[in-house]
Amino acid sequence: MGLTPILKAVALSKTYGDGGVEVAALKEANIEVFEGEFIAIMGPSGSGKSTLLHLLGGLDYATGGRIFIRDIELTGLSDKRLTLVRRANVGFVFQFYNLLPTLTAEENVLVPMAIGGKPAPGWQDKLDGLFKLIELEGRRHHRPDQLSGGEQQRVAVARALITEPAIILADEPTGNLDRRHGREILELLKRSAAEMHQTIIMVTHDPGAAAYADRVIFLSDGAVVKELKLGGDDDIEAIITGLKELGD
Amino acid sequence: MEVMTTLRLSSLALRNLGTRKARTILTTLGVVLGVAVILAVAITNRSTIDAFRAMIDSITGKADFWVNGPSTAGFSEAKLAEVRRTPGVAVAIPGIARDSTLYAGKRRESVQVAGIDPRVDRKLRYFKLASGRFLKSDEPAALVPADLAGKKKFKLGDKVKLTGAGVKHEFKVIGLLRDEGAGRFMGGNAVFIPLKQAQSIFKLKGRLTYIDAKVKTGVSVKAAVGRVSRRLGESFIVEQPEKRAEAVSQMLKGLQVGLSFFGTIAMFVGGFLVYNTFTMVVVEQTQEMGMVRALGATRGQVVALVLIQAVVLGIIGSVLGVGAGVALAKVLMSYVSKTVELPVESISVPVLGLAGAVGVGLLVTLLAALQPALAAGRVSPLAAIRIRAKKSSKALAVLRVTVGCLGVTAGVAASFLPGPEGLGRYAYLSVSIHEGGTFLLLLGAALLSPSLAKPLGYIFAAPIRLLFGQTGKLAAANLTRNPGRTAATASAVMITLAMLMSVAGMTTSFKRSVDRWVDKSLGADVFVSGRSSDATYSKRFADKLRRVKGVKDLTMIRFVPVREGAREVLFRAIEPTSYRRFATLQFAKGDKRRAWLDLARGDHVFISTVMANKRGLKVGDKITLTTVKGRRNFTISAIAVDFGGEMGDMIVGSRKDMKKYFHLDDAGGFRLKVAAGVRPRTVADRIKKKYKSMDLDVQDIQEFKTMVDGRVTNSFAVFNVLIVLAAVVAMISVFNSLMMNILERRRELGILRAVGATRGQIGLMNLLEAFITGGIGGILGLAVGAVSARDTVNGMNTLTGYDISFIFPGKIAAIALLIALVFSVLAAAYPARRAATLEIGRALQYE
Ligand SMILES: Nc1ncnc2c1ncn2[C@@H]1O[C@H](COP(=O)(O)OP(=O)(O)OP(=O)(O)O)[C@@H](O)[C@H]1O
Ligand SMILES: [Mg+2]
Repeated sequence: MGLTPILKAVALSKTYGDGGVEVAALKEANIEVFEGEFIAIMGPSGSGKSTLLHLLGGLDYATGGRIFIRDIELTGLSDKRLTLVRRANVGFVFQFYNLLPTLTAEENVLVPMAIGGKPAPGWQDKLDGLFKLIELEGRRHHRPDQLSGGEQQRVAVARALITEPAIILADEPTGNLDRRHGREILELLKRSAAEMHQTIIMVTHDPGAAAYADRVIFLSDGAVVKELKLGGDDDIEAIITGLKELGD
Repeated sequence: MEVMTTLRLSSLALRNLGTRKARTILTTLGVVLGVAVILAVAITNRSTIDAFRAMIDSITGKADFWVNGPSTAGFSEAKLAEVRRTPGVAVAIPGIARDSTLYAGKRRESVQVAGIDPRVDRKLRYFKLASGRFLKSDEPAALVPADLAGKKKFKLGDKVKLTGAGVKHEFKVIGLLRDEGAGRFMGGNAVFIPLKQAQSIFKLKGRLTYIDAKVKTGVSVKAAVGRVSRRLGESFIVEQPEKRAEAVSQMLKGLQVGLSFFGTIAMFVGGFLVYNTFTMVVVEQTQEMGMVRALGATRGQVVALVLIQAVVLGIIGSVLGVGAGVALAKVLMSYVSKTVELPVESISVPVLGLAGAVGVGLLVTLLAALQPALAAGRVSPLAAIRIRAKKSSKALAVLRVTVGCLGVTAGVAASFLPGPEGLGRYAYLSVSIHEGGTFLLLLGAALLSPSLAKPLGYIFAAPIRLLFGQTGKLAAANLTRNPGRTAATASAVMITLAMLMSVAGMTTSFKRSVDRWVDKSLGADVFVSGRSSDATYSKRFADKLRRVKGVKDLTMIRFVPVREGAREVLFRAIEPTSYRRFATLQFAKGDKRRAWLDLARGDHVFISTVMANKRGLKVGDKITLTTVKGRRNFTISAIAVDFGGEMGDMIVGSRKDMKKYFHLDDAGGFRLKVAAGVRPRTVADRIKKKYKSMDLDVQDIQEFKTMVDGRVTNSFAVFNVLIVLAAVVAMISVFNSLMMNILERRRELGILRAVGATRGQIGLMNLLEAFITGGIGGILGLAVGAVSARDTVNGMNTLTGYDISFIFPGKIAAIALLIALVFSVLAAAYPARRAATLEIGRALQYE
């Protein structure tokens, strides 16, 4: 674990809505994430987890505060610069509709490379490896509408890993998966975090999933209210207790 | 593994096209139609000119120049020797050309009879016989194009009759001509007989109507023309064939400008379809684009994603458009043939037109896709996750409405601008102003339509809601929810309707004006003339007609083709006193009483508004006509409305002057008034029966009007083809956007079905949406059409010089609105079915 945070948010705020009803989704949240960390973000529905993830990944603009990826400040970057920073550093896994409908599973995994323009050396082996991992070797040439929701999700994870981005942001990546495949995805994420020094931030409602993380950040009403370092035997218990305190 | 190499941005674009085949095909079709129409118009225009050229070439053959006399009565044969004696002239051949009618049994055909000198004619003209033999010096025999013989069912050796000076004469068909050289003369409608025979049947003993000549090698044609001209005197016209072609292309200009205008509009409609589709592509692919953005694609790359799709479509569409254009050209040409009364058959593809059509196709496609592409660039990466991130830019909407208002204002203003008279020398600008106005108007209305869709939609939505209850409510709500899309579809309908109204307005106004002119300016009950246009009748025949039972009054008319400078115009000789008992000439300019007095006194003429406008002539100006006494000045004493002459160039003079300056004292036609209580029809029939052998064309006023109307309809027929095309494009547009509606709302439709909506309800909902959309487009189209129709009429006034007042084609407008509604619902049939038969499970599952 490095000493300087790879990802840092300072007094991050996001208020939705212009004119009409305003919703403060994030209220001066402070977060530091170090290289190689696996972070779980938890909190009640509507507490601002997705919003935080989007801001950290540069998908949306904050209405207050600052975000840094290493020493690059995201807040205030032009869209083009932001896109390039995102392309180079961040991989996403969303909860729904992850894949491009016109492309096959394999092609979907390769999209980040295609967009970047130059494929990394050894990408073919990597691709084979990933498909083995997600256990969809026989389905590489199928299109998303021929895959189940869980299968699509696994393809999306493979896609997030193909360019080996420093940061992976995942919004409830196991929400669609059965227990076994959910665990595999989490193992996968954890392993790559360890091996490739990838930093993972994952939103989840599942204490079992959160238990895979090194640290759990609890959000409530747009603010970080609690942090939990994991590594003990009663991690799951601790997480459930944490959630209970939030009234979830 | 070639996955990586093919998985570029461009291939993602192609993939999108490939997966959405139906839409790709429809969009391409839009480009194809646009390109096809532009190209077809270019081809048609060029082919028409070429057909005229070919006709002129076939007339003159290898001749370098030709000689025409001062009047249709021809000139003395002695002039031939003079031409032959002129230094530099190698060959000169005599000829007579006359309109006539050919009778083969009961069948009849208008033909041109060419009297040729069989001994020398082949020096300059090329005869290729399919069968039989060539003419001998003086025998009652004829050479006929084989095709004509086939058409009229006669063969070699048969006897046919040709009219000359109002009487039928028998000729034996001794040779059939192949469809080349002389066989193509007058578009294959010419009959060749020996010169001596022609002189006899047309009462032109010792006279010729033209001389064709060729200069010696090395001699300048221009110099020879000059020498011949000086020798024969200024009353003779000596001219090179190219001059003729120039005059012809001038004559065709109106038709061409009209066609090009509609071609441009067709492209506009095509472009609109492309715009429409790509706007929808962006809507449809919003999630995808957001996804690609989230994965690191820049705005530029997303814009490129859309533009690449456009380029590919543009290229495919343009290439296919070329093929379709050639096919369409054939159709247009067949209609133009009717309009110009000359068969236009061989296709000439102008290189520039080809390049232009393809270029415009590509350009329009790109331009049309540009705005949607830019919109795609603005799609937020979050769009991937949100159900719908609809964020319309306010600034853009303001710009749209502003530009739209300006366009409409400019368009309406242009339609009120003065006609050609007001612009004097710059009259020709007027066409561009009116065309440009229509264009701005269409563009403006299209831009404003999203804002108008909602209020207009209510008009149709209200009854639909009442009639169809919940389903109607849903349909109406769907439309107002996405006014942009509704507007795009409605605009396509609007443009089609505006086009239809333009043509209808033009036709209706024209017909009405002609009718009024017929009533007022002709004032006759019965019209008598020869079937062939240059048949003439003596004054004695006029007296005979006057004595026919039921005839109350008669006036004589004689058309004399005369030269005014290099132009040929018609001199209509009338007898002022009797003529005034018939017609109130509609004077546009000039003191009526004085004008008539001057005309009767001589050396004065009236001219048509057409001629005055075209040439900027005023009352009091002088025009110079080539007469048998040389060039003479005539003072213009009035400007009158006229629809009679070819392209409207018409000079009205007195019979006294005709006798004095053209040595003619016969009549070409008669107008009759019948006694009170007598039906014109009865008198017409009486004359027909009594002078059966004379090949007379007798029409009562009703027949005459019908004939004129028919001609007007024929002239505009070609535009109808273009309207049909526009309607097809509009239908595709409606189809496309409804299809898109369904794709976009799959999930929604799935939910509706899941909560209990029946197939019937879903289908009906879509049909109703189409109905309301069609209605919105229909109303907009009628409003825009009312203005654009005015523009078209004004534009045509300028081009032709006619003075037609605009009449709103109300009946057609009502029918058009009905058609718009029906077509929209028809176009929605398939999409509605698709929506109704959606698999609920799948609809909910993905996308
Ligand atoms: N585009 C938006 N416009 C307005 N309000 C929004 C928007 N997106 C989110 N919100 C609001 O912001 C708050 C935080 O939303 P967010 O999606 O971050 O919650 P979350 O913690 O991810 O919830 P969940 O666990 O249900 O996914 C919510 O109250 C939500 O209604
Ligand atoms: Mg969320």
